[in-house]
Amino acid sequence: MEYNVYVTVGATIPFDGIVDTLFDQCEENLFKHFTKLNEKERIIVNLVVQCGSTYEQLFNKYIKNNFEENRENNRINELIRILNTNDCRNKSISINDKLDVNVIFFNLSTNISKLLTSLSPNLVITHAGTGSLLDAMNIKNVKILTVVNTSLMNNHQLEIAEKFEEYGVVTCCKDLLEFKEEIQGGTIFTKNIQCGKKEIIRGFNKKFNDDILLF
Amino acid sequence: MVSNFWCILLILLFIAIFLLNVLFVKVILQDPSNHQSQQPQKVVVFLGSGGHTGEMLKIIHTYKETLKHSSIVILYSEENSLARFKLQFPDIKNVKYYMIGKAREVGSGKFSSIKSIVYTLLSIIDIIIKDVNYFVIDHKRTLILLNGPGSCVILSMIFQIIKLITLKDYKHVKIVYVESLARCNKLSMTGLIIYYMKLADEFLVQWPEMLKSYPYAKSYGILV
Repeated sequence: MEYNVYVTVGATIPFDGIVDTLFDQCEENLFKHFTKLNEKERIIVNLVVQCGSTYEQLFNKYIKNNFEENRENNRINELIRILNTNDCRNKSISINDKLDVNVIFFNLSTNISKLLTSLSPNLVITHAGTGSLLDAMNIKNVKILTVVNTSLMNNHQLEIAEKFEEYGVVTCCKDLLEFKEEIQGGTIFTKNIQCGKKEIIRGFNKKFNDDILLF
Repeated sequence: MVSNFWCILLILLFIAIFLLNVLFVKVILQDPSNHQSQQPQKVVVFLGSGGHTGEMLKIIHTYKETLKHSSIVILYSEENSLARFKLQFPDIKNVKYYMIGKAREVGSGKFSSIKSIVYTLLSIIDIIIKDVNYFVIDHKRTLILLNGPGSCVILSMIFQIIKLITLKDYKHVKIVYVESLARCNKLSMTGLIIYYMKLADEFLVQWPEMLKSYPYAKSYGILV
């Protein structure tokens, strides 16, 4: 069984706290919960993480020396090819006989929409920036977990995160502490019960086109 | 005393121009034929920064068919915004780029804000003087798309003044301000100024719920 996760911390002001919280003691928390996803089958997790400019430090800190290298596979090479960037580190690791994890840390990519199509993530963990949230909302059958970066001016991400939660499209963590509780409790994989409560309409709007853009 | 006199004269002159403009536009220029559904001839797009640039690029992407035949000017305050535009729309050919100052850095103090606002204003005036043909002369269907930070206030003011002195109304020059999607309950500072000073011809919010508090705004749902 394959399980795909995409994590993004944003480009303008990268929210490193997400990566720190996610990978802090990940063997006891995150990876343990991965094995619970399916106890009969062997699970392969593809974990693609957009980290911003500190991707290398973060990779060295949490991944590089902490795990045994597994042999590389085609899937991970394909994803790296799509990312089309040199600012990227990856490692295939074997946590136990039931769980393999392919990790990719990268700085930025101009090819995110293609990556998301190919990866087709089951779970997206994102900072509450509008761009990243909207990208995530284009994916079908995905659980979106958003973490508000409380250190930004006026805590401005909170408003949009709560709005989308009200519409039932995302699960919102108001700060890193709440995010940590979600990880430790293993509830990051479970879908929001309120899912699809109100419909969000997007895309080409003929009325806007005719009334506003045309003369 | 002398300076007071000139002040009053100047104000009277402005009021006179304004009244003439209203008269000219509303009475004399009354065009009975309905020119509905024509694509804009000129499109001025302002790319703010970070999320604002992202929103604007998404709007251009979605409505590319409507905008691609126009002669486009991109105003930007960060190199990164321009790079993102070029990367996403390599096939848009008829386009000019101008860099303008940033009206306010996030978290900057009062003094440096005033300095940067003046700098932004001057940089915009400089561009307009350099390209008078585009910005001032011959407006038939000019669309100005604004979304985002403080520079929008200055831009919308300047285009309102250009409209005034060239005696054009919103059928010729249309200033559209789109409030950021991130604003769900209250307008941003930029939005508030533009809304209450009526600096935009069309003021759009992306969450219809906000229309209760801001009845003069319009909403077409999420545009990005």
